[in-house]
Amino acid sequence: MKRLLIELSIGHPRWVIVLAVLLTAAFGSQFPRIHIDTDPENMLPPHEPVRVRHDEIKETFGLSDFLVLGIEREQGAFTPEILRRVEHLTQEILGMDGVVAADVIAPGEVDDITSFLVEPDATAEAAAEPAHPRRGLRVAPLMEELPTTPDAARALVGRIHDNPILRGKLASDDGQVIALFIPLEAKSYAKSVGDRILKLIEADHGDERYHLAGLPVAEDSFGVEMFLQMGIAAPIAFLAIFLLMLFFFRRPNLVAAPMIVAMMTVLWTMGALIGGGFTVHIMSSMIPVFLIPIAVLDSIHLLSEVHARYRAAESMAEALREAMDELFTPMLYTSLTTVVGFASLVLTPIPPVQVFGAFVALGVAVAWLLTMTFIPAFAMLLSPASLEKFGHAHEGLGAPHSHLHALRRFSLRRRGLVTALLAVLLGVSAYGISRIHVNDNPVFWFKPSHPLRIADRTMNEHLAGTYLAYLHLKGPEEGAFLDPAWMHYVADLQSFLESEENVGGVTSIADVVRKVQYELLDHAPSAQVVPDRRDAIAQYLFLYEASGGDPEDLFKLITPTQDEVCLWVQMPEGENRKVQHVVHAAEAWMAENPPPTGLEADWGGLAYINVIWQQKMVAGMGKALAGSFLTVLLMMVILFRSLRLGLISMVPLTITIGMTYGAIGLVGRPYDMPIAVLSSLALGLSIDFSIHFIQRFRELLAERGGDFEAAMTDLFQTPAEALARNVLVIALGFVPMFFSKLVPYVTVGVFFVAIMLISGLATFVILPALLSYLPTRSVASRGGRIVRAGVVVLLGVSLGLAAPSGSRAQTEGTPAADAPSAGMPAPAADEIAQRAHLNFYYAGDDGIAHVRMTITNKKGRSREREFVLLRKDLAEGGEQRYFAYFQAPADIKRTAFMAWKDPAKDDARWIYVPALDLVKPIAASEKKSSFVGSDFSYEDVSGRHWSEDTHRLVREEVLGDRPCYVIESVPKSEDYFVRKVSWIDRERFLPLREEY
Amino acid sequence: MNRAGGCVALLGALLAMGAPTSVRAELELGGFVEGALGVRTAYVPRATLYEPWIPLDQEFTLRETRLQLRGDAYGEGAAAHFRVDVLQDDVADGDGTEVDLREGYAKVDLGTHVELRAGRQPTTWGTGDLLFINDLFPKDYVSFFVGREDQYLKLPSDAIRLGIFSSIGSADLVYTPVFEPDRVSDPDRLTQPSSVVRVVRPEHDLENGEFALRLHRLVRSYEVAAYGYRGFWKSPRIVAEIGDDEHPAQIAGHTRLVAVGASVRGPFLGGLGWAEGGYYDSESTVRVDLGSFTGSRVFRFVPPTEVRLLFGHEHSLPNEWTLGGQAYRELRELVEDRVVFTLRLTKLMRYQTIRLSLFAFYGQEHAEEDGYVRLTGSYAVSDAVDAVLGVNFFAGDDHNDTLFGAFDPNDNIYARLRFSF
Repeated sequence: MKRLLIELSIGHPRWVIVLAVLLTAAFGSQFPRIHIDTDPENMLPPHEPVRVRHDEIKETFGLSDFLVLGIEREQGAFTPEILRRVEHLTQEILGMDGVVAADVIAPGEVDDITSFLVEPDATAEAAAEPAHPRRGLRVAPLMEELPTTPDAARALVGRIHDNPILRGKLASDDGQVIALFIPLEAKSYAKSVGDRILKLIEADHGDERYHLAGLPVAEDSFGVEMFLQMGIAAPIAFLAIFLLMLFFFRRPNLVAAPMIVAMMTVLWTMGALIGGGFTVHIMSSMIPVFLIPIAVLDSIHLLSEVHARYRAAESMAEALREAMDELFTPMLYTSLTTVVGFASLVLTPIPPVQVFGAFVALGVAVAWLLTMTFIPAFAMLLSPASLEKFGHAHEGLGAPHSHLHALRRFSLRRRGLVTALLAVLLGVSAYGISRIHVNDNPVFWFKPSHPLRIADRTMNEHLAGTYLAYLHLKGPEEGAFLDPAWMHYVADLQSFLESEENVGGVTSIADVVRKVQYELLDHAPSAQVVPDRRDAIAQYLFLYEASGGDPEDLFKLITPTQDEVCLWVQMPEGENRKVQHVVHAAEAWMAENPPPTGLEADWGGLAYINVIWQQKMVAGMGKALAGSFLTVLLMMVILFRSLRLGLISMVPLTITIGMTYGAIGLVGRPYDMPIAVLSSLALGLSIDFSIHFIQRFRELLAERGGDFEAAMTDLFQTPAEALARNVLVIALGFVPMFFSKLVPYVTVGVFFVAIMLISGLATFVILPALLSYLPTRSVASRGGRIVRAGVVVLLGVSLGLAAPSGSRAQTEGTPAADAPSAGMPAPAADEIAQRAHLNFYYAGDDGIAHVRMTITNKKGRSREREFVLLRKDLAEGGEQRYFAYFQAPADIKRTAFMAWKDPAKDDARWIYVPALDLVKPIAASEKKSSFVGSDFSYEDVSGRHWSEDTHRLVREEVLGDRPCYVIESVPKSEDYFVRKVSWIDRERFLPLREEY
Repeated sequence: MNRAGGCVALLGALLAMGAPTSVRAELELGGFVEGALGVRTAYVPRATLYEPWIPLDQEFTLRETRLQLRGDAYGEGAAAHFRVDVLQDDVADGDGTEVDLREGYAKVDLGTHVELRAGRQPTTWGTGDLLFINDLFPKDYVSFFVGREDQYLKLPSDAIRLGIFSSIGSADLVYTPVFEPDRVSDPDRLTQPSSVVRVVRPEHDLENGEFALRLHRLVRSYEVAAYGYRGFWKSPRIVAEIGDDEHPAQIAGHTRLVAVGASVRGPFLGGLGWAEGGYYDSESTVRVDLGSFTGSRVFRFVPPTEVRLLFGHEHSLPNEWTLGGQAYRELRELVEDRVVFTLRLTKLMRYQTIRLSLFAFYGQEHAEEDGYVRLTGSYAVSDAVDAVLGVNFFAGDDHNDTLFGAFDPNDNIYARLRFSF
C-alpha cells in the first residue's frame, strides 16, 4: 500500500494529477444539484416523537409558525395615522404568497368580544327577572373601521387590554407597540415575506419604528446569511493560509499544491455530499471551513519534510521518497484519528450533525489520499530550476526556533512545575466544564447589533413574547373539556404558567369562556372565573360562534369535538434553558396538582423543539466524544505499542478540550451547536501534534542511541519547527473569521485559534516533561520500523541495479575474438550503412508484401494485424510511397494507410477511414510513433535514412554463420536513440541484427 | 425513408444487381453488437417544467443495444456496400426497435477516371476537426452529444455521387434529391430551452434538392480543394417571432443557402496544418401555416451573409501524444462575429489499445461565452472487443442564448461495449 502510493505518485505524476483533476471535475459537477435546508427543526429526524407531536398539534389546531411585525412609537402607537398605515400594510400582507391570510392577527382582522344591552321589551320573562338586565353578545372585528380621532384610536388599547385573548399579543399594555402576527404556510416563506414587508414600510412610514421578529425569520435569514458568509469566510481563510505559507516557504509554486489539495478535498467532499442526495444544512455548510486546515496541515507536514531533505537528497524523487517513507505511518494515524474524531459524530441522534461528521471524516480521508499522491506528483513536475532555493534555511524561521528551544528547556528543567501546572489546569477545566450550560437560540446566531436582534429585544420588552410553545392537553373522550373540572384545570394551569418568570402570556380556551361570561354578566368582577356548569361552558362557546365569532379562531384553542385543547405559551426569551425551565415548572405543577384522570399533556412549538434537539445534542456529543476518545487512545496504544505512551499522547488533546470547554463554562458562554461539534476537531487536530511529536522523538532517540537530551534537542530543530509552523498557519488563517457577521462563525474562528495554540503549546511544553518521566527504554521505538525501512532501501537498491541489465538483455553475439577475415579491405562505414539501407528498403523498383503482424503485450495477450503493403520507389534512395491496406481484424478492415517518404522532409501520411469514407492526413512529425500499435515505429517500417546518422565500423565478426560488419551509428542531431549497433552481412549487405 | 430517397436507394440496388461483374465477385460480411449506456449527470432544474422548455424526466441519454450488419460485395469495376443497424433503443419513445439503413449504395466505375455511386451513403469532406464550413452534409449532433461512436455524427443521405479522377485534379459532385437536415434535437434525450414552436422544413420535392461539389488535388504533399454548395441551411434558424415578451414563440426554418469555399491542408511547422474558408450567401422566404386562427403566413427572412474562416494545427508529440488546436471565426454582416477555439489532446497507450482523447470547445458570441468538453477513453480489449467511456460536458453563459449553454443540463457520462465480428 505504502510502496504503491509512493511509487505511483513519483513514477506517474502526470497520471495522478490528471486523475485527480478528472475526479475533482466529476465531484464538482454535482454542485448544481445542491439542496439547501436551513430549518433547525431538521436537527431532529422527521420521525422523532417530538416533531411528530409538534406537527400533529399544528395539524389539529390549524396552527402555523409566526412572523411578528412590531410597530413601535414611544409617544403611543395608537394614532389614526399609524392605524391607517397598519391597516394598509395588513391588507397588503393578506395578499402575499405564503401568508395564511385567514389567521393573520392584526387590529383590523381579529375579533373582539363585546356585549350590548338587550332592550327590555314588555314580555312576561322580562317582568319575571326585573333585576337582571339581559345582555347580548357581539363578536366583531376589533377595529371595524379606522378610528378618526386620537381618542378613538387610544380606546383600542383598553379594549385589547381587556381581552385576555389579545392582551400582550396585539398591543403592549402601554400602547407603544402594535404587533401583527403573520402566520406562514411554511417557514421557508419567512425571508421573502419579510423582505416584501420591509419594502412596503420603506415606501410609506412616519416616525414610528418597525421591527420584524419571530423564529422563522431568524432561521430563514440565517440560512441566507450563512451562505453569504460561507462564501466570504472560507475564501478569506484560504487566502490567509496561502499568504502565511508563502511567507514560510517562499515558493509560490510549491505552496500552491497544498491549496489545490485543500480545494480538491473540499470539492470532492461537498460533491459527494451533494451527489449523495444529502441536504446542505447549517452544519454541513461549515464542512469546507473544517477541511481546509486539515488538508493544508497534512500537506505542510509533507512539504516541510521534503523541504528539510531536498538539499541533501540527490533529486526531488529521492527527497520525496525519504519524506514519504518517514511520514507515511504518522500521517496515516493522524488522519485516522481525525477520521475517528469526526466519524464519532455519527453517534449523535441529530441527522445534520451525523452528515457533518460522516463527510468531514470522508474529507479527511480524501485529504490524506491527495496529500500522499497529489503533492508528490505535483512536486515531481516542478522544474529543478524553480526549486533552486527550495530547501535553503529561511531567516524567518530562526526566531520561532529559539523560542521553541526555550520551551523545551523550560519543560525539561521544570518538569515538576509543568506537571503540577497540568494538574491545576485540568482541575480548573473540570470545574469550568461542570458549569457549562447548554443554550441556543437561533436569534442569537446574529450579533447583538443585527436588526433582527434589536427587533427581538424591543418586541419582547413590550409584548408577551415572540417565542411560542404549545402545551397540548388531550382528554379521553369527546366533549371532555366541556366538563367544568377539566376547564378549571386548564384555567388553573394557565394562571400558574402566567406566574412563571419567562412566560409573558398564555392563551387558552378558558380565556374565551371567561371573556364571554364577563361580557354577558356586564363586567361583573365575579364573572372572571370559569363557570361551574357544563351547559354554561358549552353555551358560551356556542354563543361565541353564533354571535359572529369565527369558529376557526376557536378551533385554534380547542378541537371541534372538545376533547383536546391547546395552550399558547408566549415567552419573551427563547433560549432553550428558559424554555426548558417553563416546561419543567409546568410538569412539576401538574405532578403536584393531578389532572382529572385520562388527561394527557405534551408540548410542541418551535421554542420547545429547540429544547429537545439541544438536549439530545449534549447527550449525543458527550457519547461521541467519549467514544472517539477511547478509540483514539486504543489506536495510540497500537501505534506506539505502549500503554504509557498512548496515555501520554492523549494529554495534549485532553488539556486542549478541557481548557477550551472549561473556559466556555467559566466565561458563561452558552454551549451551542457549533461549539459542540468543535470538540471533534479539537480531538482530531491535537492528537496529530502528539503523534508527530512522539513518533519522531522515538526515531531520533534510536538514532541518538538512547540519549534523551540529544534526541529532544534534535526534535526541537526541524520537526518541532514544522509543527510550530502548522500551528501558526492554521491559527492565523482563521483569525479573519472573527469578523464574520454571524456568531457561529465567530465562534468557530475563535475556537480554531484556541485549539491550535493550546494544543501546540501543550505538545511543546507538556510532552517533553511527561516523556522525561518514562524510562528511556520504554520510549524507544521497538525497532520494527527501522528494520523495515532498511529492507525497503535494500530492495530499492537491488531493483535499481537489476533494471539496466534487464533492458539490455540481448547480448549474445560471438565476441570479436576472431580476427576479421583477412584480404578484402573493409568498405567505409558510411558506405556499408548506405548499401544496407538501399538493399533493405529499396530492394527492386517497387515492392508488395502480405504482412501478418502479431502484437503481443506484456501480459501475453496478442492481437493480429493483416495488411498488404505496397511500396513504390520514385528514385533509388530518394522519395518512396508506401500504401498499407488492412484486411484484419474486423474493426479496422478496409482501413488504408499511405505514407510519402522524402528523405529531405518529414513524411506525409494519410489514413482512410472506411466508416466515414474519409481520407484524413496524420500529423507526422514524430518519427518514433508506433506503427499501428506495434513496437515498430513508422521509421522502422519505412527505413531511417542513412544520412541522418554518423556511422563507424566497430569490428567484423561472425553472427550465426554469416560474417558481418558491425557498424555503430550515432544520430547527427538529438534523436530518440543514442546509439545503434548493426550487424550487416558482408556479402549481401543486409542488416541481420540491430541493437539500440 | 421518404419516397425520393427510396428511389435513389432502389436505383443503387439496381445498379448493384445489374453490374456486369458476376465473374469474380467477392462478398465480405461482418458487423458488430454494441451496448451503450449514457447517464445524465447534470441536474435538470425542476423549473424547466414551468418554462417553455422541453421537460425531461429521462435520466438516461443513451440506453441501447445495436446490431450492425455489414456486407461489402466487390466485383470487376463495381461494388456494393450495405450497413444495416438494428437498434433496440430504450430511451426513444415508441416501440423501441428500429431498423436503420446506414449505408446502401452501389458503386460503378465508368471507365478508369469516373466513378458513380448511388444510394444511401455518408459523405464528408473539408478540413476542420468537428468544425464544418464546406462540409454541408447532414450531421446528427444528438448522437454525437449523447456519446454514440463518432461515425454516427455523420448522417447518411440518399444521394448520387459522381467522382472524376485525373492527374490534373479530381472532382466530386453529390446530388441529394431531397434535402436532409441536421439532427439537432431529440426531446427524449436532450433538453434544450427553446421557444421554437414550429420548425418549417423545405417541401419534400425534387426542386428542393442539394448540390455539393468539390474540386481537389494534391500539390506536393498539400491537399488543395475548392467547394460549392447549393441547398439549405442544415440547422434550422429562427425566421420569425410570433409571440410576445411574456410568451415567446418563434418559427424556425431552413432557409436557402449558397456557399463557396476553399481549403488547404498539409505539413506545416513540423506538424499538420489546415486552413479553410467559406462564403455563405442566403435568401429565403418561409411559408408557415399558423393554423385556423391566423391562417397561412409568409415570412421573409434573409440570414446575414457570412464569411467563415478556420485555421488548425496538429502536432504529434513524443510518447504517442497528439495536440491539436483550431481557431474559427464567423464574420457576419450586421451581426457580431462568432469566435471559436478548439483544443484536442490525444494519447495512445499500451500498443495503441488505449486511446484517451480530450476535445474542448470554447466559443464567444455577443460577449457571451460557451464551451463544451468531450472526454473519451477507449480500450481495445482484444481485436473483437472494444470498450469506450466518455464524458460530455456543456457550459455556457446563458441557458438560452449560446449554442452549448442551451445543452447545459445535458452533461452526460456514457459507456459502450462493442463486439465486432
